[in-house]
Amino acid sequence: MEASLPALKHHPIEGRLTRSFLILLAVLALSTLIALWAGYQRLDLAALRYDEAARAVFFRLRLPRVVMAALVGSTLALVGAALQALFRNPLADPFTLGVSGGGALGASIAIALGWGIRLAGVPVVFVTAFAGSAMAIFVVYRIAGSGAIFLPGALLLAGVVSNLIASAGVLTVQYVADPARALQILRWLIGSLDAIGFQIIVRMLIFLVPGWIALLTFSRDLHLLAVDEETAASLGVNVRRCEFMVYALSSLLVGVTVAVSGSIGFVGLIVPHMVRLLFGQDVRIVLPCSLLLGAAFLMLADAVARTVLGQTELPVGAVTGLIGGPFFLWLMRREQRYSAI
Amino acid sequence: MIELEARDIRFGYSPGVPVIGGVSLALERGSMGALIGPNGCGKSTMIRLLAGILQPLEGQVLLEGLPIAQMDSYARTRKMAYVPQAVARAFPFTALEVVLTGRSPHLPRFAFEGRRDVERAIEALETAGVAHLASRRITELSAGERQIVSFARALAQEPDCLLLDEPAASLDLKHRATLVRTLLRLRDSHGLTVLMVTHDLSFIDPCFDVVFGMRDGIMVAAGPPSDTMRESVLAEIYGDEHVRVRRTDGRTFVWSEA
Repeated sequence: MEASLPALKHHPIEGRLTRSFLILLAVLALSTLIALWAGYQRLDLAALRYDEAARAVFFRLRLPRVVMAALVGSTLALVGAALQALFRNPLADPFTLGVSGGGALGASIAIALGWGIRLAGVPVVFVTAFAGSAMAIFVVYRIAGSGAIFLPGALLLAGVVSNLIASAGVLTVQYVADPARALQILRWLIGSLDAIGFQIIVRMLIFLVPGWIALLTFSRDLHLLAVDEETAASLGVNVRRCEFMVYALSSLLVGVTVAVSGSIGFVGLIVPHMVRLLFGQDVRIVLPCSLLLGAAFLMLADAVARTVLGQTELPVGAVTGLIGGPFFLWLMRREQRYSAI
Repeated sequence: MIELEARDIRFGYSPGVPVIGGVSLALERGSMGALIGPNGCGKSTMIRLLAGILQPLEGQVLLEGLPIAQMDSYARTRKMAYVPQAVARAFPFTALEVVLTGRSPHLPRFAFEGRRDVERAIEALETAGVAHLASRRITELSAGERQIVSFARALAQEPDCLLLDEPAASLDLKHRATLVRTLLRLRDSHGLTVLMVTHDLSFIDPCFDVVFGMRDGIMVAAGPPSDTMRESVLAEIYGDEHVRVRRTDGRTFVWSEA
Protein backbone atom coordinates (compact mmCIF):
# COMPACT_ATOMS: atom_id res chain seq x y z
CA MET A 1 0.00 0.00 0.00
CA GLU A 2 1.37 3.41 -0.93
CA ALA A 3 0.39 6.69 0.70
CA SER A 4 -2.79 6.03 2.65
CA LEU A 5 -6.00 7.90 1.89
CA PRO A 6 -6.08 9.99 5.09
CA ALA A 7 -2.52 11.08 4.28
CA LEU A 8 -3.58 12.15 0.80
CA LYS A 9 -6.45 14.18 2.23
CA HIS A 10 -3.97 16.27 4.17
CA HIS A 11 -1.94 16.97 1.10
CA PRO A 12 -3.57 20.01 -0.48
CA ILE A 13 -2.23 21.30 -3.75
CA GLU A 14 -2.78 24.95 -2.99
CA GLY A 15 0.52 25.64 -1.26
CA ARG A 16 2.64 23.72 -3.73
CA LEU A 17 3.07 26.48 -6.28
CA THR A 18 4.15 29.01 -3.67
CA ARG A 19 6.58 26.57 -2.11
CA SER A 20 8.21 25.52 -5.36
CA PHE A 21 8.30 29.13 -6.51
CA LEU A 22 10.16 30.25 -3.38
CA ILE A 23 12.69 27.44 -3.74
CA LEU A 24 13.30 28.36 -7.36
CA LEU A 25 13.62 32.05 -6.55
CA ALA A 26 16.46 31.14 -4.22
CA VAL A 27 18.03 29.00 -6.96
CA LEU A 28 17.63 31.88 -9.39
CA ALA A 29 19.27 34.37 -7.04
CA LEU A 30 22.19 32.03 -6.45
CA SER A 31 22.64 31.35 -10.17
CA THR A 32 22.57 35.07 -10.90
CA LEU A 33 25.37 35.67 -8.43
CA ILE A 34 27.43 32.81 -9.85
CA ALA A 35 26.84 33.96 -13.43
CA LEU A 36 27.79 37.53 -12.59
CA TRP A 37 30.89 36.40 -10.75
CA ALA A 38 32.17 33.86 -13.26
CA GLY A 39 34.07 34.88 -16.35
CA TYR A 40 37.53 35.23 -17.79
CA GLN A 41 37.98 37.93 -15.20
CA ARG A 42 36.34 37.05 -11.93
CA LEU A 43 34.12 39.69 -10.48
CA ASP A 44 36.00 41.79 -7.98
CA LEU A 45 33.82 44.07 -5.92
CA ALA A 46 36.68 46.32 -4.91
CA ALA A 47 37.80 46.79 -8.50
CA LEU A 48 34.23 47.48 -9.48
CA ARG A 49 34.20 50.43 -7.13
CA TYR A 50 37.51 52.02 -8.15
CA ASP A 51 38.40 50.72 -11.59
CA GLU A 52 36.63 52.49 -14.43
CA ALA A 53 37.53 49.77 -16.97
CA ALA A 54 36.35 46.92 -14.73
CA ARG A 55 33.10 48.74 -14.19
CA ALA A 56 32.63 49.19 -17.93
CA VAL A 57 33.27 45.48 -18.56
CA PHE A 58 30.84 44.50 -15.86
CA PHE A 59 27.96 46.85 -16.68
CA ARG A 60 28.27 46.94 -20.46
CA LEU A 61 29.24 43.35 -21.16
CA ARG A 62 28.66 40.93 -18.36
CA LEU A 63 25.46 42.23 -16.79
CA PRO A 64 23.48 42.52 -20.05
CA ARG A 65 24.75 39.13 -21.10
CA VAL A 66 23.59 37.49 -17.89
CA VAL A 67 20.23 39.21 -18.20
CA MET A 68 19.98 38.04 -21.79
CA ALA A 69 20.77 34.47 -20.76
CA ALA A 70 18.03 34.64 -18.15
CA LEU A 71 15.47 35.96 -20.63
CA VAL A 72 16.28 33.48 -23.36
CA GLY A 73 16.48 30.54 -20.94
CA SER A 74 13.21 31.31 -19.24
CA THR A 75 11.41 31.82 -22.54
CA LEU A 76 12.67 28.62 -24.14
CA ALA A 77 11.89 26.59 -21.02
CA LEU A 78 8.39 28.04 -20.70
CA VAL A 79 7.60 27.40 -24.36
CA GLY A 80 9.03 23.88 -24.09
CA ALA A 81 6.83 23.11 -21.10
CA ALA A 82 3.76 24.48 -22.88
CA LEU A 83 4.43 22.55 -26.10
CA GLN A 84 5.04 19.33 -24.18
CA ALA A 85 1.68 19.67 -22.48
CA LEU A 86 -0.10 20.69 -25.67
CA PHE A 87 1.25 17.80 -27.70
CA ARG A 88 1.20 15.40 -24.74
CA ASN A 89 4.74 14.55 -25.73
CA PRO A 90 7.62 14.84 -23.26
CA LEU A 91 10.09 15.08 -26.15
CA ALA A 92 8.55 18.24 -27.60
CA ASP A 93 10.62 21.42 -27.39
CA PRO A 94 11.09 24.48 -29.61
CA PHE A 95 14.23 22.87 -30.99
CA THR A 96 12.99 19.33 -31.64
CA LEU A 97 9.73 20.57 -33.16
CA GLY A 98 11.60 22.74 -35.64
CA VAL A 99 10.26 26.01 -34.26
CA SER A 100 13.76 27.28 -33.53
CA GLY A 101 14.92 26.15 -36.97
CA GLY A 102 12.12 28.05 -38.68
CA GLY A 103 12.93 31.11 -36.62
CA ALA A 104 16.60 30.78 -37.54
CA LEU A 105 15.76 30.72 -41.24
CA GLY A 106 13.58 33.79 -40.87
CA ALA A 107 16.21 35.61 -38.87
CA SER A 108 19.06 34.73 -41.22
CA ILE A 109 17.14 36.24 -44.12
CA ALA A 110 16.80 39.46 -42.14
CA ILE A 111 20.48 39.45 -41.21
CA ALA A 112 21.47 38.85 -44.83
CA LEU A 113 19.50 41.96 -45.71
CA GLY A 114 21.14 43.94 -42.91
CA TRP A 115 20.90 43.52 -39.14
CA GLY A 116 19.75 46.97 -38.17
CA ILE A 117 16.65 47.37 -40.35
CA ARG A 118 13.51 48.39 -38.50
CA LEU A 119 9.90 48.43 -39.46
CA ALA A 120 7.86 50.92 -37.45
CA GLY A 121 10.42 50.63 -34.64
CA VAL A 122 10.32 46.83 -34.55
CA PRO A 123 13.55 45.17 -35.70
CA VAL A 124 12.82 43.29 -38.92
CA VAL A 125 14.78 40.33 -37.60
CA PHE A 126 12.10 39.88 -34.89
CA VAL A 127 9.36 39.88 -37.48
CA THR A 128 11.00 37.42 -39.86
CA ALA A 129 12.08 35.11 -37.03
CA PHE A 130 8.54 35.13 -35.71
CA ALA A 131 7.18 34.40 -39.17
CA GLY A 132 9.68 31.54 -39.60
CA SER A 133 8.77 30.01 -36.24
CA ALA A 134 5.07 30.34 -36.93
CA MET A 135 5.49 28.73 -40.32
CA ALA A 136 7.47 25.81 -38.86
CA ILE A 137 4.97 25.15 -36.09
CA PHE A 138 2.09 25.32 -38.55
CA VAL A 139 3.69 22.89 -40.99
CA VAL A 140 4.73 20.45 -38.27
CA TYR A 141 1.31 20.52 -36.73
CA ARG A 142 -0.52 20.10 -40.00
CA ILE A 143 1.57 17.12 -40.99
CA ALA A 144 1.66 15.36 -37.64
CA GLY A 145 -1.91 16.17 -36.70
CA SER A 146 -3.58 15.56 -40.02
CA GLY A 147 -5.59 12.75 -38.44
CA ALA A 148 -7.74 12.89 -35.36
CA ILE A 149 -4.93 11.31 -33.37
CA PHE A 150 -1.41 12.57 -32.85
CA LEU A 151 1.28 10.04 -33.53
CA PRO A 152 4.16 11.07 -31.29
CA GLY A 153 6.63 9.67 -33.81
CA ALA A 154 5.10 11.67 -36.64
CA LEU A 155 5.37 14.86 -34.62
CA LEU A 156 9.08 14.52 -33.95
CA LEU A 157 9.79 13.31 -37.45
CA ALA A 158 7.99 16.29 -38.94
CA GLY A 159 10.00 18.50 -36.57
CA VAL A 160 13.28 16.95 -37.68
CA VAL A 161 12.41 17.32 -41.35
CA SER A 162 11.32 20.91 -40.97
CA ASN A 163 14.57 21.58 -39.10
CA LEU A 164 16.53 20.09 -41.99
CA ILE A 165 14.65 22.17 -44.53
CA ALA A 166 15.21 25.28 -42.44
CA SER A 167 18.93 24.66 -42.07
CA ALA A 168 19.22 24.02 -45.80
CA GLY A 169 17.48 27.35 -46.25
CA VAL A 170 19.90 29.02 -43.86
CA LEU A 171 22.86 27.58 -45.77
CA THR A 172 21.45 28.91 -49.01
CA VAL A 173 20.94 32.35 -47.51
CA GLN A 174 24.48 32.29 -46.13
CA TYR A 175 25.85 31.26 -49.51
CA VAL A 176 24.21 34.06 -51.43
CA ALA A 177 24.69 36.73 -48.76
CA ASP A 178 27.79 38.92 -48.90
CA PRO A 179 30.73 37.45 -46.93
CA ALA A 180 30.66 39.85 -43.99
CA ARG A 181 27.01 39.20 -43.36
CA ALA A 182 27.42 35.47 -43.90
CA LEU A 183 29.93 35.51 -41.06
CA GLN A 184 27.44 37.41 -38.93
CA ILE A 185 24.86 34.74 -39.63
CA LEU A 186 27.27 31.96 -38.75
CA ARG A 187 28.26 33.51 -35.42
CA TRP A 188 24.69 34.17 -34.48
CA LEU A 189 23.47 30.75 -35.62
CA ILE A 190 25.51 28.68 -33.19
CA GLY A 191 23.61 30.34 -30.43
CA SER A 192 25.47 32.94 -28.54
CA LEU A 193 24.49 35.48 -25.96
CA ASP A 194 27.11 38.01 -26.96
CA ALA A 195 26.29 41.26 -25.29
CA ILE A 196 24.14 43.37 -27.51
CA GLY A 197 23.46 45.92 -24.83
CA PHE A 198 20.48 46.94 -22.79
CA GLN A 199 18.63 48.57 -25.66
CA ILE A 200 17.86 45.28 -27.32
CA ILE A 201 16.97 43.73 -23.96
CA VAL A 202 14.33 46.38 -23.38
CA ARG A 203 13.00 45.79 -26.86
CA MET A 204 12.82 42.03 -26.18
CA LEU A 205 11.04 42.56 -22.89
CA ILE A 206 8.25 44.43 -24.65
CA PHE A 207 7.43 41.20 -26.47
CA LEU A 208 8.49 38.61 -23.94
CA VAL A 209 6.72 39.73 -20.79
CA PRO A 210 3.23 39.97 -22.33
CA GLY A 211 3.94 36.69 -24.14
CA TRP A 212 4.89 34.93 -20.90
CA ILE A 213 1.83 36.22 -19.11
CA ALA A 214 -0.48 35.30 -21.96
CA LEU A 215 0.98 31.80 -22.14
CA LEU A 216 0.70 31.35 -18.37
CA THR A 217 -3.01 32.18 -18.52
CA PHE A 218 -3.42 28.91 -20.42
CA SER A 219 -1.88 26.92 -17.55
CA ARG A 220 -5.10 25.19 -16.56
CA ASP A 221 -6.18 24.43 -20.12
CA LEU A 222 -2.73 22.98 -20.78
CA HIS A 223 -2.88 20.95 -17.60
CA LEU A 224 -6.20 19.42 -18.65
CA LEU A 225 -4.87 18.83 -22.17
CA ALA A 226 -1.76 17.12 -20.81
CA VAL A 227 -4.00 14.65 -19.00
CA ASP A 228 -6.19 13.89 -22.02
CA GLU A 229 -7.43 15.91 -24.96
CA GLU A 230 -10.95 14.49 -25.15
CA THR A 231 -11.43 14.76 -21.42
CA ALA A 232 -10.18 18.35 -21.55
CA ALA A 233 -12.71 19.14 -24.26
CA SER A 234 -15.45 17.58 -22.16
CA LEU A 235 -14.31 19.73 -19.22
CA GLY A 236 -14.97 22.88 -21.22
CA VAL A 237 -11.54 23.57 -22.72
CA ASN A 238 -11.82 25.11 -26.16
CA VAL A 239 -9.12 22.87 -27.60
CA ARG A 240 -8.78 24.52 -31.01
CA ARG A 241 -8.56 28.01 -29.56
CA CYS A 242 -6.07 26.91 -26.91
CA GLU A 243 -3.94 25.20 -29.56
CA PHE A 244 -3.99 28.25 -31.78
CA MET A 245 -3.08 30.62 -28.97
CA VAL A 246 -0.26 28.44 -27.68
CA TYR A 247 1.15 28.15 -31.22
CA ALA A 248 0.94 31.86 -31.83
CA LEU A 249 2.49 32.75 -28.48
CA SER A 250 5.19 30.09 -28.79
CA SER A 251 6.14 31.33 -32.26
CA LEU A 252 6.28 34.91 -31.02
CA LEU A 253 8.37 34.06 -27.96
CA VAL A 254 10.73 31.68 -29.75
CA GLY A 255 10.98 34.03 -32.73
CA VAL A 256 12.11 36.92 -30.54
CA THR A 257 14.69 34.85 -28.64
CA VAL A 258 16.01 33.20 -31.79
CA ALA A 259 16.32 36.60 -33.43
CA VAL A 260 18.74 37.81 -30.78
CA SER A 261 20.50 34.66 -29.65
CA GLY A 262 20.33 32.12 -32.46
CA SER A 263 18.85 28.72 -31.83
CA ILE A 264 19.98 27.47 -28.47
CA GLY A 265 18.92 23.88 -28.28
CA PHE A 266 17.41 21.63 -25.64
CA VAL A 267 16.80 24.22 -22.91
CA GLY A 268 13.08 23.80 -23.50
CA LEU A 269 13.45 20.07 -23.16
CA ILE A 270 15.68 19.68 -20.13
CA VAL A 271 14.28 22.36 -17.87
CA PRO A 272 10.61 21.25 -17.81
CA HIS A 273 11.82 17.73 -17.07
CA MET A 274 13.91 18.93 -14.18
CA VAL A 275 10.89 20.82 -12.87
CA ARG A 276 8.70 17.73 -13.15
CA LEU A 277 11.26 15.63 -11.32
CA LEU A 278 11.47 18.23 -8.56
CA PHE A 279 7.87 19.37 -8.20
CA GLY A 280 5.61 16.83 -9.93
CA GLN A 281 3.55 16.69 -13.09
CA ASP A 282 0.97 19.43 -12.52
CA VAL A 283 1.31 21.68 -15.57
CA ARG A 284 0.02 24.68 -13.60
CA ILE A 285 3.17 24.32 -11.50
CA VAL A 286 5.49 23.16 -14.28
CA LEU A 287 4.89 26.26 -16.45
CA PRO A 288 5.80 29.05 -14.01
CA CYS A 289 8.57 26.97 -12.45
CA SER A 290 10.11 26.29 -15.87
CA LEU A 291 10.25 30.03 -16.41
CA LEU A 292 12.39 30.50 -13.28
CA LEU A 293 14.52 27.39 -13.64
CA GLY A 294 15.07 28.10 -17.34
CA ALA A 295 16.59 31.47 -16.44
CA ALA A 296 18.86 29.90 -13.85
CA PHE A 297 19.83 27.05 -16.17
CA LEU A 298 20.91 29.18 -19.11
CA MET A 299 22.73 31.69 -16.92
CA LEU A 300 24.81 28.83 -15.53
CA ALA A 301 25.30 27.19 -18.93
CA ASP A 302 26.51 30.52 -20.24
CA ALA A 303 28.84 30.92 -17.28
CA VAL A 304 30.31 27.54 -18.20
CA ALA A 305 30.59 28.60 -21.85
CA ARG A 306 32.45 31.75 -20.84
CA THR A 307 34.92 30.08 -18.49
CA VAL A 308 35.53 26.47 -19.41
CA LEU A 309 38.09 27.15 -22.16
CA GLY A 310 39.91 29.91 -20.31
CA GLN A 311 40.44 32.83 -22.62
CA THR A 312 38.44 31.60 -25.60
CA GLU A 313 34.73 31.43 -25.28
CA LEU A 314 32.45 28.56 -26.25
CA PRO A 315 29.07 29.35 -27.82
CA VAL A 316 26.39 28.65 -25.23
CA GLY A 317 24.44 26.65 -27.84
CA ALA A 318 27.33 24.18 -27.89
CA VAL A 319 27.15 23.77 -24.11
CA THR A 320 23.39 23.20 -24.02
CA GLY A 321 23.66 20.89 -27.04
CA LEU A 322 26.37 18.81 -25.40
CA ILE A 323 24.26 18.46 -22.26
CA GLY A 324 20.91 18.29 -24.01
CA GLY A 325 21.61 15.84 -26.82
CA PRO A 326 22.56 12.91 -24.60
CA PHE A 327 19.75 13.85 -22.23
CA PHE A 328 17.28 13.70 -25.13
CA LEU A 329 18.51 10.26 -26.15
CA TRP A 330 18.22 9.02 -22.60
CA LEU A 331 14.64 10.33 -22.41
CA MET A 332 13.79 8.74 -25.71
CA ARG A 333 15.00 5.38 -24.49
CA ARG A 334 12.81 5.75 -21.42
CA GLU A 335 9.79 6.72 -23.52
CA GLN A 336 10.38 3.73 -25.76
CA ARG A 337 10.20 1.51 -22.75
CA TYR A 338 6.97 3.20 -21.60
CA SER A 339 5.22 2.88 -24.92
CA ALA A 340 6.27 -0.74 -25.25
CA ILE A 341 3.96 -1.62 -22.36
CA MET B 1 -38.76 16.01 -17.38
CA ILE B 2 -36.36 15.67 -20.26
CA GLU B 3 -32.72 16.00 -19.12
CA LEU B 4 -30.93 15.59 -22.43
CA GLU B 5 -32.33 16.03 -25.89
CA ALA B 6 -30.96 16.00 -29.41
CA ARG B 7 -33.00 17.57 -32.19
CA ASP B 8 -32.34 16.46 -35.73
CA ILE B 9 -28.53 16.42 -35.44
CA ARG B 10 -26.50 16.32 -38.63
CA PHE B 11 -22.74 16.03 -38.65
CA GLY B 12 -19.78 14.98 -40.79
CA TYR B 13 -16.02 15.24 -40.24
CA SER B 14 -15.36 16.24 -43.85
CA PRO B 15 -17.76 17.90 -46.27
CA GLY B 16 -19.94 15.57 -48.30
CA VAL B 17 -19.39 12.61 -45.95
CA PRO B 18 -22.24 12.63 -43.44
CA VAL B 19 -21.62 10.60 -40.30
CA ILE B 20 -24.78 11.57 -38.47
CA GLY B 21 -27.76 12.07 -40.75
CA GLY B 22 -30.49 13.62 -38.67
CA VAL B 23 -30.67 11.99 -35.25
CA SER B 24 -33.08 12.95 -32.50
CA LEU B 25 -33.30 11.48 -29.03
CA ALA B 26 -34.66 12.41 -25.65
CA LEU B 27 -33.60 11.09 -22.28
CA GLU B 28 -35.73 11.48 -19.15
CA ARG B 29 -34.05 12.78 -16.01
CA GLY B 30 -32.94 9.94 -13.79
CA SER B 31 -32.99 7.31 -16.48
CA MET B 32 -30.33 5.02 -17.88
CA GLY B 33 -30.04 4.94 -21.64
CA ALA B 34 -27.95 2.64 -23.81
CA LEU B 35 -26.76 3.68 -27.26
CA ILE B 36 -26.10 0.59 -29.35
CA GLY B 37 -25.26 -0.16 -32.94
CA PRO B 38 -22.66 -1.80 -35.19
CA ASN B 39 -19.06 -0.57 -35.44
CA GLY B 40 -18.74 2.69 -37.31
CA CYS B 41 -22.45 3.55 -37.14
CA GLY B 42 -21.74 6.92 -35.50
CA LYS B 43 -22.38 6.11 -31.82
CA SER B 44 -19.16 7.66 -30.55
CA THR B 45 -19.60 10.69 -32.78
CA MET B 46 -23.14 11.07 -31.51
CA ILE B 47 -22.12 10.94 -27.87
CA ARG B 48 -19.35 13.49 -28.52
CA LEU B 49 -21.91 15.78 -30.09
CA LEU B 50 -24.13 15.36 -27.04
CA ALA B 51 -21.17 16.07 -24.74
CA GLY B 52 -20.45 19.31 -26.60
CA ILE B 53 -17.00 18.15 -27.75
CA LEU B 54 -18.13 18.31 -31.37
CA GLN B 55 -20.53 20.90 -32.75
CA PRO B 56 -23.32 19.68 -35.02
CA LEU B 57 -23.59 21.11 -38.51
CA GLU B 58 -27.35 21.21 -38.12
CA GLY B 59 -29.73 20.66 -35.25
CA GLN B 60 -29.10 21.24 -31.57
CA VAL B 61 -28.43 19.56 -28.27
CA LEU B 62 -30.46 20.67 -25.26
CA LEU B 63 -29.49 20.10 -21.66
CA GLU B 64 -32.37 20.70 -19.25
CA GLY B 65 -34.14 22.49 -22.06
CA LEU B 66 -31.27 24.89 -22.86
CA PRO B 67 -29.23 24.62 -26.07
CA ILE B 68 -25.67 23.72 -25.02
CA ALA B 69 -24.24 25.77 -27.88
CA GLN B 70 -25.47 28.89 -26.09
CA MET B 71 -24.42 27.77 -22.62
CA ASP B 72 -21.21 28.90 -20.98
CA SER B 73 -18.88 25.93 -21.33
CA TYR B 74 -18.24 25.74 -17.59
CA ALA B 75 -21.95 25.90 -16.81
CA ARG B 76 -22.37 22.97 -19.17
CA THR B 77 -19.55 20.95 -17.64
CA ARG B 78 -20.87 21.43 -14.12
CA LYS B 79 -24.00 19.57 -15.22
CA MET B 80 -22.67 17.11 -17.74
CA ALA B 81 -19.65 14.81 -17.67
CA TYR B 82 -18.21 12.56 -20.32
CA VAL B 83 -16.06 9.44 -20.08
CA PRO B 84 -14.06 8.83 -23.27
CA GLN B 85 -13.26 5.40 -24.67
CA ALA B 86 -9.62 5.61 -23.69
CA VAL B 87 -7.48 8.04 -21.75
CA ALA B 88 -4.04 9.24 -22.82
CA ARG B 89 -1.05 8.51 -20.63
CA ALA B 90 1.67 10.79 -21.88
CA PHE B 91 2.75 11.98 -18.45
CA PRO B 92 2.88 9.98 -15.23
CA PHE B 93 0.10 11.83 -13.42
CA THR B 94 -1.24 10.05 -10.34
CA ALA B 95 -4.78 8.71 -10.47
CA LEU B 96 -5.74 11.31 -7.86
CA GLU B 97 -4.38 14.11 -10.05
CA VAL B 98 -6.43 12.82 -12.97
CA VAL B 99 -9.58 12.65 -10.85
CA LEU B 100 -8.92 16.16 -9.52
CA THR B 101 -9.15 17.55 -13.05
CA GLY B 102 -12.84 16.72 -12.75
CA ARG B 103 -13.10 19.51 -10.20
CA SER B 104 -12.00 22.20 -12.64
CA PRO B 105 -15.53 23.25 -13.73
CA HIS B 106 -16.23 24.09 -10.09
CA LEU B 107 -13.12 26.23 -9.62
CA PRO B 108 -12.13 29.69 -10.83
CA ARG B 109 -9.64 29.66 -13.67
CA PHE B 110 -6.53 30.34 -11.63
CA ALA B 111 -7.44 28.48 -8.45
CA PHE B 112 -5.88 25.24 -7.33
CA GLU B 113 -7.96 22.45 -5.85
CA GLY B 114 -8.47 22.87 -2.12
CA ARG B 115 -8.95 20.37 0.66
CA ARG B 116 -12.66 19.94 -0.16
CA ASP B 117 -11.88 19.15 -3.76
CA VAL B 118 -9.34 16.54 -2.73
CA GLU B 119 -12.00 15.01 -0.47
CA ARG B 120 -14.50 14.96 -3.31
CA ALA B 121 -11.96 13.35 -5.60
CA ILE B 122 -11.20 10.64 -3.06
CA GLU B 123 -14.93 10.04 -2.57
CA ALA B 124 -15.27 9.66 -6.33
CA LEU B 125 -12.42 7.14 -6.36
CA GLU B 126 -14.15 5.26 -3.55
CA THR B 127 -17.50 5.29 -5.35
CA ALA B 128 -15.85 3.92 -8.47
CA GLY B 129 -14.15 1.30 -6.31
CA VAL B 130 -10.56 2.30 -7.10
CA ALA B 131 -9.52 4.24 -4.00
CA HIS B 132 -6.53 1.96 -3.69
CA LEU B 133 -5.16 3.36 -6.96
CA ALA B 134 -5.17 7.00 -5.76
CA SER B 135 -1.42 7.48 -5.59
CA ARG B 136 -0.54 5.15 -8.46
CA ARG B 137 0.69 6.65 -11.73
CA ILE B 138 -1.69 6.26 -14.65
CA THR B 139 1.21 5.27 -16.87
CA GLU B 140 1.51 2.12 -14.76
CA LEU B 141 -2.17 1.21 -14.73
CA SER B 142 -3.87 -1.28 -17.03
CA ALA B 143 -6.31 -0.05 -19.67
CA GLY B 144 -9.24 -1.22 -17.53
CA GLU B 145 -7.95 0.51 -14.42
CA ARG B 146 -7.45 3.73 -16.40
CA GLN B 147 -11.05 3.49 -17.60
CA ILE B 148 -12.31 3.24 -14.04
CA VAL B 149 -10.11 6.18 -12.99
CA SER B 150 -11.57 8.16 -15.88
CA PHE B 151 -15.05 7.20 -14.62
CA ALA B 152 -14.07 8.44 -11.14
CA ARG B 153 -12.89 11.70 -12.72
CA ALA B 154 -16.35 12.15 -14.26
CA LEU B 155 -17.98 11.44 -10.89
CA ALA B 156 -15.76 14.07 -9.22
CA GLN B 157 -17.34 16.53 -11.61
CA GLU B 158 -20.64 15.91 -9.76
CA PRO B 159 -22.71 15.85 -12.93
CA ASP B 160 -26.48 15.53 -13.31
CA CYS B 161 -25.97 13.84 -16.63
CA LEU B 162 -23.22 11.36 -17.44
CA LEU B 163 -22.23 10.27 -20.93
CA LEU B 164 -19.98 7.23 -21.32
CA ASP B 165 -18.36 5.90 -24.47
CA GLU B 166 -17.85 2.16 -24.07
CA PRO B 167 -16.66 2.50 -20.48
CA ALA B 168 -16.63 -1.25 -20.03
CA ALA B 169 -14.62 -2.10 -23.13
CA SER B 170 -11.48 -3.08 -21.20
CA LEU B 171 -13.23 -4.20 -18.03
CA ASP B 172 -13.52 -7.74 -16.76
CA LEU B 173 -16.84 -9.33 -15.86
CA LYS B 174 -16.77 -8.29 -12.23
CA HIS B 175 -15.82 -4.67 -12.92
CA ARG B 176 -18.45 -4.36 -15.66
CA ALA B 177 -21.10 -5.36 -13.16
CA THR B 178 -19.64 -3.02 -10.54
CA LEU B 179 -19.76 -0.12 -13.00
CA VAL B 180 -23.40 -0.76 -13.90
CA ARG B 181 -24.30 -1.22 -10.23
CA THR B 182 -22.64 2.11 -9.37
CA LEU B 183 -24.55 3.86 -12.14
CA LEU B 184 -27.85 2.33 -10.99
CA ARG B 185 -27.18 3.44 -7.43
CA LEU B 186 -26.40 7.00 -8.53
CA ARG B 187 -29.49 7.03 -10.71
CA ASP B 188 -31.66 6.04 -7.77
CA SER B 189 -29.97 8.16 -5.10
CA HIS B 190 -29.06 11.34 -7.04
CA GLY B 191 -31.36 11.14 -10.04
CA LEU B 192 -28.33 10.82 -12.31
CA THR B 193 -29.14 10.62 -16.00
CA VAL B 194 -26.90 8.21 -17.90
CA LEU B 195 -26.29 7.56 -21.57
CA MET B 196 -23.82 4.83 -22.35
CA VAL B 197 -22.46 3.64 -25.65
CA THR B 198 -22.05 -0.09 -25.33
CA HIS B 199 -21.48 -3.30 -27.24
CA ASP B 200 -22.26 -5.36 -24.17
CA LEU B 201 -25.97 -6.17 -24.43
CA SER B 202 -26.05 -8.45 -21.39
CA PHE B 203 -26.86 -5.67 -18.89
CA ILE B 204 -29.45 -3.81 -20.90
CA ASP B 205 -32.46 -5.75 -19.69
CA PRO B 206 -33.22 -5.25 -16.77
CA CYS B 207 -30.69 -2.50 -15.87
CA PHE B 208 -31.37 0.13 -18.53
CA ASP B 209 -34.56 2.13 -18.97
CA VAL B 210 -34.27 2.95 -22.63
CA VAL B 211 -32.30 1.75 -25.67
CA PHE B 212 -31.34 3.77 -28.74
CA GLY B 213 -30.24 1.75 -31.74
CA MET B 214 -28.23 3.40 -34.50
CA ARG B 215 -27.24 2.20 -37.92
CA ASP B 216 -25.41 4.13 -40.66
CA GLY B 217 -25.73 7.44 -38.84
CA ILE B 218 -29.46 7.33 -38.23
CA MET B 219 -31.62 6.16 -35.36
CA VAL B 220 -33.39 2.96 -36.32
CA ALA B 221 -34.89 2.00 -32.96
CA ALA B 222 -35.68 3.69 -29.65
CA GLY B 223 -37.66 2.47 -26.69
CA PRO B 224 -37.59 0.44 -23.50
CA PRO B 225 -35.67 -2.85 -23.54
CA SER B 226 -38.95 -4.79 -23.74
CA ASP B 227 -39.56 -3.25 -27.19
CA THR B 228 -36.01 -3.09 -28.49
CA MET B 229 -34.36 -6.24 -27.18
CA ARG B 230 -36.13 -8.37 -29.80
CA GLU B 231 -34.61 -10.49 -32.52
CA SER B 232 -36.26 -8.54 -35.34
CA VAL B 233 -35.22 -5.14 -33.96
CA LEU B 234 -31.64 -6.16 -33.17
CA ALA B 235 -31.31 -7.86 -36.54
CA GLU B 236 -32.29 -4.54 -38.12
CA ILE B 237 -29.87 -2.51 -35.95
CA TYR B 238 -26.86 -4.77 -36.49
CA GLY B 239 -27.79 -5.91 -40.00
CA ASP B 240 -27.35 -9.48 -38.78
CA GLU B 241 -30.01 -12.16 -39.15
CA HIS B 242 -28.08 -14.48 -36.81
CA VAL B 243 -29.06 -12.48 -33.71
CA ARG B 244 -30.81 -14.59 -31.08
CA VAL B 245 -32.64 -13.38 -27.98
CA ARG B 246 -33.75 -15.45 -24.97
CA ARG B 247 -35.47 -14.30 -21.80
CA THR B 248 -34.84 -16.26 -18.61
CA ASP B 249 -34.81 -15.34 -14.91
CA GLY B 250 -36.00 -11.80 -15.69
CA ARG B 251 -33.00 -11.05 -17.93
CA THR B 252 -32.59 -10.90 -21.63
CA PHE B 253 -29.68 -12.75 -23.22
CA VAL B 254 -28.51 -11.73 -26.65
CA TRP B 255 -25.97 -13.44 -28.87
CA SER B 256 -25.23 -13.92 -32.50
CA GLU B 257 -25.12 -17.44 -33.89
CA ALA B 258 -21.61 -18.20 -35.10
